[in-house]
Amino acid sequence: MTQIPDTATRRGYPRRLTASLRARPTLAAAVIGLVLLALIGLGAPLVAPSAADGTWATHPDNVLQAPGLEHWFGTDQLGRDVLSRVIFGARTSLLIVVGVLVLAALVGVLLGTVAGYFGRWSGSLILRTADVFLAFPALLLTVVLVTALGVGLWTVVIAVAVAWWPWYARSAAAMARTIRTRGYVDGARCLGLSHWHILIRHVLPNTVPPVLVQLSIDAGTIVVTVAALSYLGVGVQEPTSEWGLMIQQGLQHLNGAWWIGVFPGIAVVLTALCLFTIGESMRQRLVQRGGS
Amino acid sequence: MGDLTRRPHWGRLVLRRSAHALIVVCGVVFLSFLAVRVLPGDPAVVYAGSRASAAQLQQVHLQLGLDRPLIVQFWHYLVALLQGDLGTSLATRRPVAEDLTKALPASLVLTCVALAVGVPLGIAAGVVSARFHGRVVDRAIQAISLLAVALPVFWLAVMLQDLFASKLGWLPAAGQVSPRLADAQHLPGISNAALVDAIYAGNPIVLVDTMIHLILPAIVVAAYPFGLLTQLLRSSLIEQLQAPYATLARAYGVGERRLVRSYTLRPALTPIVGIGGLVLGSTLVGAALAEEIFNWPGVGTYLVTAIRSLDINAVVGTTIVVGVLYVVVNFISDLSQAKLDPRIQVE
Amino acid sequence: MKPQRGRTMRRAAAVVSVAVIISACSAAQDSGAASGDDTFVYASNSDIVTDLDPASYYSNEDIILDNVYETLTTFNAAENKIEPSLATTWSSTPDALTWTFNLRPGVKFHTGRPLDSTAVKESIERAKQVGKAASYEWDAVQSIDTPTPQQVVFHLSEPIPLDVHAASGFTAHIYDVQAHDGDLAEWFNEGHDAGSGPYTVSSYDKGGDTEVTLQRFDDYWGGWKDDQFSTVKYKKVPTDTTAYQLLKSGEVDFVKEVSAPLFKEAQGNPAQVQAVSNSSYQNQNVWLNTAQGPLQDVRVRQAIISAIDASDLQKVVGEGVEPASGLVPQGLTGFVPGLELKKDLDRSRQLLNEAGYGPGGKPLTLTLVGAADEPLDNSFATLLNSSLSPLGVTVDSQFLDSAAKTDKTRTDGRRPDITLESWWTIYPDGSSWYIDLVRSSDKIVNNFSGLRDPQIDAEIDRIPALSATNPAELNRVYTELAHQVTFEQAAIASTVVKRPLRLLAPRIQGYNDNPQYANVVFVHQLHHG
Repeated sequence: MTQIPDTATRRGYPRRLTASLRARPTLAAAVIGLVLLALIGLGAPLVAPSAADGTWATHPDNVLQAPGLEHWFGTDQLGRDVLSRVIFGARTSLLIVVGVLVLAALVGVLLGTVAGYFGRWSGSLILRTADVFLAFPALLLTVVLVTALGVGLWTVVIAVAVAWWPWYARSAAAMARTIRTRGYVDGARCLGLSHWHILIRHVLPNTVPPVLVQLSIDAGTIVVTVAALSYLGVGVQEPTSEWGLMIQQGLQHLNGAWWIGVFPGIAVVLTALCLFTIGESMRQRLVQRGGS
Repeated sequence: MGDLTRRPHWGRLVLRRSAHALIVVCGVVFLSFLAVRVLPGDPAVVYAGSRASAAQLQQVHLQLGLDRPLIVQFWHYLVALLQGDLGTSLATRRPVAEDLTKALPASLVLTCVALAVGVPLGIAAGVVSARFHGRVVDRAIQAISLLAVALPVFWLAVMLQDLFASKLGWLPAAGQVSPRLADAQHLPGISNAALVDAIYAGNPIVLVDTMIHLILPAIVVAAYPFGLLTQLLRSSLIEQLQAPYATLARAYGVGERRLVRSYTLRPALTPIVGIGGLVLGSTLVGAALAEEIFNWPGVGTYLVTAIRSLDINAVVGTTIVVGVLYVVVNFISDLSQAKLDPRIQVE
Repeated sequence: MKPQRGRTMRRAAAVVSVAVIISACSAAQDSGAASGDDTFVYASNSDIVTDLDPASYYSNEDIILDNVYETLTTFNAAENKIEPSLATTWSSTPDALTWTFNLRPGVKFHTGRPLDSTAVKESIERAKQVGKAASYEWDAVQSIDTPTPQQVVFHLSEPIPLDVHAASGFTAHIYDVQAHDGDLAEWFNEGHDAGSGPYTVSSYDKGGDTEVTLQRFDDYWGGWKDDQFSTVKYKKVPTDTTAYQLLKSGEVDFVKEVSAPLFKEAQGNPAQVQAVSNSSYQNQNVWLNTAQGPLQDVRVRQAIISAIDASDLQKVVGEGVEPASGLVPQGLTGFVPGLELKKDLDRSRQLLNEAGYGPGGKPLTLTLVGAADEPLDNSFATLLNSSLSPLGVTVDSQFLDSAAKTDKTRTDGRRPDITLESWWTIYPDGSSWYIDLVRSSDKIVNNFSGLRDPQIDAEIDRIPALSATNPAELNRVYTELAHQVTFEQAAIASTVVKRPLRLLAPRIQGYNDNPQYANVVFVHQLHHG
């Protein structure tokens, strides 16, 4: 059963999209939430009450203030406005998630497609390597990698990407393998088209959709994983605003200055919820279309 | 859809999977060793103490064999590994294998209990949710399960501990058993797991106490697998319930409840069994983070402490054990899935 | 199937209610320890034991072993005085090269052997021979004589205050070296001891929940009263919130350290917990790299020092610290009052401008390395960066584990511009801050600033001898050095002194936090109400 590619009905797509969103309010809420989050993250220096507090500033005379008119989310142990730091934390999370997904998906899809299409030795090698990486729990692998590479924002991105690429590789390889066995590929070869031509024009466009779906589901997990890394002390460092880091610092103030840990925690949960909801419905869409 | 006449030849399948697993294990060992030996810093410092003089450090350096080339170090490590020696922890100065064996029972108890709670609940919730797809019950279960997956386990642990132990005082804050009770009842310290000890000693009072201490940690660790299973089973079961054969069965007058239980549940569960290893893995990670907060003397606490103090041998040893465990579990779940679903294609 | 389900449900309900009743009873049993319970439980947040050999342990084991072993002298922190312990009196020749200690009569080791001068000689000689931990504090000892069983005579190669060294918490214990025929170190690490102290090791559960248990030694020379503790247990409890819960429920009597917010909460709960804090001899120190990079310019270094504010750090960190004055903590010889670091950003700006940096001048980035497990380092770095950023100076920080940190800070290559490390003394005087942290040497060990000033070196070299012979001159030297190294050379400064925040059960009385023996509870001094 061949699929009718998306491109054929591109014109009707936006209209159908909004219609289906209107029919499912939770999904709509999640999408709106995500868009808001992205906007806030991108526009952090403009949106936050104090951009300095979100980055380098401290105010030792103003520590641990309760939420009030001047500081809606209160101030933290260094006197910084928590709302500003939560907003800048959105930016950090955005950066990391996008960075990880781009890196992991790029590497994973490329390697996986090659592995699935060509098969035999190269395919085996790539997939066995992927399996070795998959043999570790993701958090354990990222922790070991970050401690090896040194802590910091970019090493976190690399380490988490290294832990995630095998998924995309396997998914892409499975899809590529299936397509390889399709009649039209052999037909194309008979016509004299090169492997690369086939890969780019026929195989890749089909390996990408399931990976996209996987990406959206993974985004939520990645946000939580990065928070866990910072909680363990091997993630993003001060003075960069990051939700997991704020949670870790805020946990000791739970009975006193509860606002330090609670607001970033809510941010993590809401973001993860939005991402999971969107990812789940994208997955359902794909299943309905006959892919798997 | 798959060639139904080509059934997997069991012997060949097992052999192929075993070879595959073995290769992965080798990769795990190599990668663990490499990743950790690449770490910056002289491990002798952890061993000798932060106030050690340069001469003392040099001595420990030689003692630990850190001056030899990487290949030689790896060879020695491999040889020792095959004899069951996982190296000596730099921080505790005990054999890592000994530390892990000691820490394992407590972790097993926690993980098993958490799974015993989370898995059946997850399956039940998934079934109910799929059965009443679209109704209020479904929406409620979806919301709960989504929340269970999205909440960071350490946040949940601290919140619950604060609420139920600190503020309300209903449940104990941490530990496996009340120390004074254990002392008064002369609990034998056979394994490191109080529950096991209590069963072994046949002591019902302590047994109940350990079960009460398990409540909070088990709930926290069970949350993620519960949420995950609910969601996966729900979508898998919905898919099955909308399949042509289900419609046919309904047309023949098969009741909905019987349809769910006898016809669709097994095919819905099959892909989930396939990822059983991954679910277990996420549970283990959750358990590791929760263990520290609840003062649970298991592998998780051991690993987190080792990572924070950069105890190379302990980190490598634990990583290898966990990695191998993963491979074994995935191996089993792979084969189980193949057994349950004869349509699985053999590559 | 269905009728049985109802029965199972009822059975389950019965089990649950029984469980609830039993747990309520047991909870009542162990909440609020009954008076007359003479077990003292110490909760530590870190691993305590890696080595039980008194000659080689160098970590937290002193918490346990200072109750099992004793030293010749001990330090009275409140009065800054060396006091008798196993030695009752001592004297030295005017040149401080010969020291005579008179031993306390009637002291027995746990092995049964009485304390005599031969035991002292054997202990010290074993410490030197094993050569680990703080054995260097006996380096000046050339030979030891035992003219009578109650007298020990030390012959030194150079003058040092030997009574001060003898009060150290490490590698200075006197024990029965003949306790075991074979490998003594191995015997100790199996859970045996050969000390003279009030308690003896009764069980050692390596890596277990309760690592070590001590039992009272009935023949202790200090004697016993009814309301003292006869059993001591050491538990590892990684999180302080858990430890607090355990203390409130009576499972634990002493929590070694809690965070400032938790301490504040405990202070509001005097019925269930005593919250105590006292100054320690541990402070946070900052070294500026005088030998490499932009900080070779002394004006830039002085600008950095002027940007540090100790009371800001205290505001951020909370009750667990207090501003330091000079390198040596208060209570030790060498303390100089009135030198707390206060920020003066105008002065910093002026100095930076003179050196070509600052607003309008060249931008400056400095590297900083601190300890990963030390939140204080993190707070300091964030504060420093925020003070210096408006002045065009950025501080790029890295917080590393001890192995990586040692690598980065002791390398012969390019070291960080700013190094943070906490320091405390092995024996009770202020000399080690100068000898170990300031005095130049060929290889960088703990003198991270790389300062090479022959005058300063010469003054530091005079300290040990002056400690033993001339206190007045010693004081003058310390004062001069304090000004030199922090303000003129701007090579090293102490920011804050740590004040460990501890929790005690209400029934514990007689606790005295001795900063020289950090985190040690001398259980024999306690009594329960």
